[in-house]
Amino acid sequence: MSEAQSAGRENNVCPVASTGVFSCISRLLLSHDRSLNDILDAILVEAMKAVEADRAFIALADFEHGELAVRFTAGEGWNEQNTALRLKVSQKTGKGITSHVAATGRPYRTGDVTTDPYYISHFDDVRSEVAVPVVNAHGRVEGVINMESARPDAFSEQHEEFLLAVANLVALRILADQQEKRQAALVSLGRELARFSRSADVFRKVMDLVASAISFQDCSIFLLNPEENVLVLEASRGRLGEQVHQARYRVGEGITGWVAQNGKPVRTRDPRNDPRWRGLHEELAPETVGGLIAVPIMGYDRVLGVFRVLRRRSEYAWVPNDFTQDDEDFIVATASILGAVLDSFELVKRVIAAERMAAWGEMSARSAHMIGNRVFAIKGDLNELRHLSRQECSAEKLAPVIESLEKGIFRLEEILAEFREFVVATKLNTNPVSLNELLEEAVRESFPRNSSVRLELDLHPDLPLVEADTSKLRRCFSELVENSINFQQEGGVLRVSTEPVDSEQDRIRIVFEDRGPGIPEENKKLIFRPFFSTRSKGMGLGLSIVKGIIDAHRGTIRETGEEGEGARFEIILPAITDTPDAAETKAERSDQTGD
Amino acid sequence: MRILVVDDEEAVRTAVRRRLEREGHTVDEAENEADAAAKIQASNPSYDIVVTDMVMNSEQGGVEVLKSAVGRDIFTEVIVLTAYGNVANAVECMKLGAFDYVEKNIPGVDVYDLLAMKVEQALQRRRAALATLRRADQILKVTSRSAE
Repeated sequence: MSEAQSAGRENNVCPVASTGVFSCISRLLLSHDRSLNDILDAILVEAMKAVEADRAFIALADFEHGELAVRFTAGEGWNEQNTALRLKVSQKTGKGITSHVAATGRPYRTGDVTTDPYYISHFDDVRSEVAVPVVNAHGRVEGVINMESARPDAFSEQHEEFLLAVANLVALRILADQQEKRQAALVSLGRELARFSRSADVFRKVMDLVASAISFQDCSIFLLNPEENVLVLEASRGRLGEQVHQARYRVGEGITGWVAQNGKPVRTRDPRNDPRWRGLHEELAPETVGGLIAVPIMGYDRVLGVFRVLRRRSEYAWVPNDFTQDDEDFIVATASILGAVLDSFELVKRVIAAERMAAWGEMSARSAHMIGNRVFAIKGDLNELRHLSRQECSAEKLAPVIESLEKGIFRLEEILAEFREFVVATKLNTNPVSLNELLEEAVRESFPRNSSVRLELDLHPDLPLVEADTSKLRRCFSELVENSINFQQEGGVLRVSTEPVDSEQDRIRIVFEDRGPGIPEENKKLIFRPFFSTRSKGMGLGLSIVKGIIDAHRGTIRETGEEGEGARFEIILPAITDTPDAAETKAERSDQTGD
Repeated sequence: MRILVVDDEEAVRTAVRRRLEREGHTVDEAENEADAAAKIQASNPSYDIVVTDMVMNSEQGGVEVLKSAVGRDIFTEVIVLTAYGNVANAVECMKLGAFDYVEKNIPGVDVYDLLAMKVEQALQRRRAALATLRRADQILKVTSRSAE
């Protein structure tokens, strides 16, 4: 028994029992309206009072950077500088009481710091110190609670036991907080699935969410290209970002390739010594690679890719680099959601392709019919010409036949032009575009000068850009304008508006509304099919081309008006979301690490 | 002879009318099945021949025209014009009593001359049928008189 311990026992003081501090601390632990930081801050103050210390701090392990950092302080004399520097030296040298406790995972107490072999002086007035580890359910040191006093022999064994109990509660609260974050991340991912229309957006969201719930240095998503049997990098949060679409693993090559081949996750604390390791593409410099988790992204019936997360190797032996089973379970869950989303993208792609194929079938049958009719009429004119050529005939007799021939051929060419447009509707040449500008331009261009229809533009002033093919979208908007004007020959209103679909700013709604006859319920599904139009011009491909163009932009178009009140075409297009999302993630991360 | 041409394309109607007028016929036009039904109903005497497109407002437009024509005069001959891919429907019309069908697009064939020929054949059948009817009528009158 050390001097300090016997001093505590001789004093026979147990301030802890008399203060009711545990009930206070347990209340704090269960409070729902306070953040983890607030709670730990308050607990530290209560614990410091309970053991009559003059100064206290909680240091927590930062697994992302592999070091221990002072996160909460209580008592006199703390400032930003000494808070930041407090553990720097001790971690490097392995000296210092806090680092010693973190490294051994056992409490440490001294009644006289002047003779203590581990003590490094930070404050001149310190005489006694007690430090206890915060150990989590996996037996890992998550942090250290440290108390200092200006009195010699200020801390007893009971103080130490009390602090250990507090440390256990803190560890539980940290665990609960972590689980909450993971649950929230999964819920958020599930909730937002329907909003995604591009796999790149999903990748970013998934990586951001994983980052909010697990500390790591970097993560990457590889997708399997089944034709070539290689994994291709699709997204990365760090150094590998520059190699997107370039970095590749053959299936079976390296740990990543092994995961794809076997459909099983790999979790290791030292990937470089794993026999499967190839080190082809690394997010971190090879010598700094620490823990690694690589999990398969499972689709309905096959492996779609690999999701992998890497941690930096800590400079300090006591910091555990490896991920836990909990971490792995969380990443497996995330990857399976990702797999479901990718599967659904594939399905949507197939449905659109199938719709397009059906449209093609209908189109070829119908165009053969229409071209046949035109050719039949032209042959009629030729028959007449031949007949006229056999007799003496005047120019007056020839003129109408030639005119009819020209008209017939013109209509054939009109069909060809429309056919071509239908064919290229889904081939886009895109750029970031301001939808309002494009819409205004297209509407003004196609709206007739002297129309009895009143045009109302209501464009939301603050819209994100969209990735769009300007000439195709313009064609699409013009078609809707012409359509509306055609159905309001007696005058009316065309209202064109834009707005974000919701606060996420990732989708834009464009509405064309008029006071024409509207579309009967039974026709709503048919209007986007080829040849539905009753207009005589061309083949009636107008709205089917519009739908083709919107589909190709990963958007949707629906008719939501009431028959008798007017038509209402509602288009939803995905917006470019890079910038705001990245900023949001940054904010979340800095909040989490308390920097 | 009186002929009704039914087609939803003006250019087609004009070309067919012109060709049949060249043969000396009197030609009326109708632009869809309903228009045709009204004109057939109002005709007096009835049309000798009806030339109709198959697919107009409905897929079975030609069948409707056939029913209107035969309903007005059982001996009116109907010729169905079919565009590419509608031969099956035209055959259906034949079963219902149409005289024949003519495909609009036969490569290398002047379908207008073909149509003029079919119209001529149809007229012959109509004349033969009407002649038979008159003879039967006469025989009926003679036999009923001798019975008295």
